[in-house]
Amino acid sequence: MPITEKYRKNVVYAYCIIFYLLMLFKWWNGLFLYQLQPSLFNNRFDLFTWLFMKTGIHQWLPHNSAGWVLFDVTFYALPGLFLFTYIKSLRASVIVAFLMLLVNWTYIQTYTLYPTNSIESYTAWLLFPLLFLAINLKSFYLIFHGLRYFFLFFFASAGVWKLVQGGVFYTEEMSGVLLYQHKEYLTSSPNYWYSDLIYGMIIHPAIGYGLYIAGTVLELVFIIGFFTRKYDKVLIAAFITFLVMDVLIMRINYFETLPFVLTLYYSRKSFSAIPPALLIEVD
Amino acid sequence: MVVSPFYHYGMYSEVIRVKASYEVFEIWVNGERLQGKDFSAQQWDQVILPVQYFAALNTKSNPLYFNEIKRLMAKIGLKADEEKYVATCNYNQFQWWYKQYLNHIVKRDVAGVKILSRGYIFQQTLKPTSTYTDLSALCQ
Repeated sequence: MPITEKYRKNVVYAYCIIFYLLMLFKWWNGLFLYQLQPSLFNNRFDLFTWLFMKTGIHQWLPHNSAGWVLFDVTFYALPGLFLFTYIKSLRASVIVAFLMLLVNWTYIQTYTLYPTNSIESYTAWLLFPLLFLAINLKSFYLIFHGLRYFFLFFFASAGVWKLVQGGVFYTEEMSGVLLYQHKEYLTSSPNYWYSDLIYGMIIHPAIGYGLYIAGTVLELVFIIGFFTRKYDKVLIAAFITFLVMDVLIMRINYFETLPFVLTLYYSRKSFSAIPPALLIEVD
Repeated sequence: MVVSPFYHYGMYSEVIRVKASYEVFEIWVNGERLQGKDFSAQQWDQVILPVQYFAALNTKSNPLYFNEIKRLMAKIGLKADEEKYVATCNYNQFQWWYKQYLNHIVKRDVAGVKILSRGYIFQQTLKPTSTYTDLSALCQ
């Protein structure tokens, strides 16, 4: 099926819906900057972050309640503003998309320097504004599929790293991971059903190792996506399984990667069949 | 080294062995230890992560500047000013902030907070030892 402007519209609407559902989730869980009230930062091994830190924003923000609100309002308002301008004028929406790109990079770089979450799970917010910079459908199509390849790389590389770094060849790996991940929980809540469940996997390494192998296979399955789009719906199921299992077993949420699902869901649309007249976009 | 947004998406890919002993943070509020079971995963992270970040200032975060950031930034011709990358260990300030912060999460008046890093030995379950260090001693 050829892509049309309706295809772009669906992606924009779906992106905004996911963004605002996640916003509610984060607000409910006290994860806005104004709720977290950060007071300290840690460095990470990222050259771009080091360049960003030269601005000193990460030091200005702690203990600056007005700054937290300013950051939150700007970050969470922009997708809505983008949608509004997109409905009114595609060309105007590109300006907002550029603004969103700058704000998202600033917000995510700063936010993840504080005790929140690792920056790896926020790449969707870093990259999707690039998609909305495209005026013509051809560029939109190409960037969209670039994001799809990035998402495939995200998972496939996690599987490959497990082979390269050897985690997958160590039968007690998952026991070690679970102890490392949950040690504060396990020691503070002994005899609770969840602690019993985790301890069960730790002291029966075969169960934990089986899950670790299953997780690695699930990640490696994403390699298929580099060669064909035929199984993208299967990859969506694999991704949802990953999200759910990560919450249940690791108590880690990767929900912020959800926008990438769109790149799999809409991947079967082809660009080749599109009539040339539709390639030129007008407001 | 990585460059945003191309990170090392390892997701526990390195070999993580089961150790004989672990250092575990204990958060005590008004004389009672906070228990993970009473919090959602997100809330529990909010309780534990600031403590881990504070404890890591002098063991990971600041050494990263002196060992890598300064050197690698110089290699690309950029000056990395120490004040932008190095955070001071101010335990009193952190404790004051953490107390106010916990008030929002535990939803009760936090009169006193004690944060310990206690040794646990692993024998089927994690068992506490009598050896512990106060958080104030971990970052001086």
